[in-house]
Amino acid sequence: MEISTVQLVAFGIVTAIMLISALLVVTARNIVHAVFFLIVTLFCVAGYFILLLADFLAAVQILIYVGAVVVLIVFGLILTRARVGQAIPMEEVRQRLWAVLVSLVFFGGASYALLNEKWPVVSVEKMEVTTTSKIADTLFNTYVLPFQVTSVLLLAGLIGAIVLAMREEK
Amino acid sequence: MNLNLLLPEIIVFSFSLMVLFVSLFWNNRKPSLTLGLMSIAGLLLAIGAFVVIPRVGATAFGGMFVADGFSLFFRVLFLNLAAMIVLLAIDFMREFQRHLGEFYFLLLIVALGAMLMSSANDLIMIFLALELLSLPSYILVGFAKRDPRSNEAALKYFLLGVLASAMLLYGMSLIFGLTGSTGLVDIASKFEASGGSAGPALLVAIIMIIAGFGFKIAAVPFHFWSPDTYEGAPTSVTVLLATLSMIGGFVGLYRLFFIALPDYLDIWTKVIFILAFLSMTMGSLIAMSQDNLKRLLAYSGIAHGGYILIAFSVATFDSQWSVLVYFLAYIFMTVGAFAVAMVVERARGSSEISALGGLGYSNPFLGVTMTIFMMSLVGLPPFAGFIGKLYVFKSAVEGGALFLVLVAIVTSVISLYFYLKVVRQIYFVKGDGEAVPTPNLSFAVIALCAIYTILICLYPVFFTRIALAAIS
Repeated sequence: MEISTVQLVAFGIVTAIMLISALLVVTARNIVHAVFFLIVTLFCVAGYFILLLADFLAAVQILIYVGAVVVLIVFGLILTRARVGQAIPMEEVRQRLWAVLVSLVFFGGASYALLNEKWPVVSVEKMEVTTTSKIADTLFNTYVLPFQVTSVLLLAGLIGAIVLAMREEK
Repeated sequence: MNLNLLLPEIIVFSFSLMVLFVSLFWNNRKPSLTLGLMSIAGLLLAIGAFVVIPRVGATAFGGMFVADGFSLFFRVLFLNLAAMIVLLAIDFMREFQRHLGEFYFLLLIVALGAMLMSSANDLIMIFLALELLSLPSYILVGFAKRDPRSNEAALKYFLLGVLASAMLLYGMSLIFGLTGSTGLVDIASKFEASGGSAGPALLVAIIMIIAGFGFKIAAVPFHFWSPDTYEGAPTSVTVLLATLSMIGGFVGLYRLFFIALPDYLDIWTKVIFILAFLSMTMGSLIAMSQDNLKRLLAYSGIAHGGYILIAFSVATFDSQWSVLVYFLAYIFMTVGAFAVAMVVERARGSSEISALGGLGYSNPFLGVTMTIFMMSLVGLPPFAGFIGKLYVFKSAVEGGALFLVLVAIVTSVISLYFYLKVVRQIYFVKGDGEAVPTPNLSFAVIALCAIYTILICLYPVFFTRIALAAIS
């Protein structure tokens, strides 16, 4: 499959928006703003899936992450009576310089490695029209055990959250 | 479909659900005892279920799950370990009036995660097993909700744990990108076919994966969470972190590197070499200045992780079975030491080393057994720690890692100082003489650990034979 100019341009635009909004998520001092930038970021991830012709994953990405996860974060803010709408005062972080250095070294090292690697590229002659049935197939055949284990993991997380969040009467 | 290969896991999971349901509907006067005994029944039944499982390497779910000698060894080991931890928890969770069902449920899930890790044969399964080990641990660490130290410990453990998971996942995704496969055996054959020279991306992947597991096994420099978390967590949970969770990490590391990346042995053993060196030296040196028994055991755990990593760094056949013997020794002496610490902490309300003062006279049983565990942790004969170190060091010398062995011997001598500090407190310092009663179940666990700690040294052949059978 040849990569067309349109795809490249679309990739550039999506990436730019994603990077900017991701940066804003971590720099925003107001948590509600951060949540909204997170929505933009997650939408861009869905954009990646579309560019890779994974239509089902893109839809699921929007439904679950944008639709459910972000909404839950907002609900969490409301229910825990967090200081919504106020800027969070930040203490001067002493390790800022170290954090920047470590991140740059990691980013530099990883990008050098990824750019200089000979990736085994598989060329796909004809893309599947629908990916949904294929996903269902792998999920319930090859990956049925991880699928089940994930449900155990979610159950443990659910019960743990209840234990930690439940109000204790004296 | 070989579903019966997973029978022990299915039993453990069913019992964990049963414990949860029973705790909802059945109010009785001794909830900790009832639910704990139910959990133990499940664990013992799961051990019994191994009768129906074939010993030779059979796989289930398209190679995702493998039941070979290695997994058999660790699954049985983890079940026994979990049973000991539950036995200890029964006595000490009595003060937690609420959420006892959830406590035992989460504990069984951690055991389930460790068991799945021993049988994982796929990157996705390894990751999920690690999460299954970690996620309930985060909650268990924060189980003492009213204790701010427990809250802090849980938060620290959670934040660093999530970061470690992300790094591990990133490393795994690079391996998937290079091979197009998640199955460990498949990855190994793809790498073999590609000619064997490692590209830069694989190097990044190896470092990321070691960082991810390094957190779980508290290897220096990924150990920063461990002393604070060990100290802040309820001690019933600390013993779980120090044994089940740590060894679970080692098992994952073993499976991933020895099965999927044997072609790049010379690369990853070098990274592990550095970790082993740092863990032994830093762990022992910092342990010298500790006054809190739980923190001391945390640093001692880091140092022992370093000794175990020697075997990983040597990576010969002999070092592989030696490290299994080391695990056996480590489990009994660590669980024993923590059990004594728990009994003392409950009676005297402190986990400082000074709280042990005069223990040798007020409770001779605890005094003697704690001395045994400390001597064993140093690596003195005739105790299990000696045998563990002997085999690992011997295989390391034969494998050409003389430098690491010399460092290990020096740090063992250093460790003599801080372990003897505990013994000195027990016998040569006059405590307040407050009586320390030993609860029955804890007595049983401590006695069992002490017996095994001696037995492993007296009849090592029996245990080495088990370890050999697990590897070959």
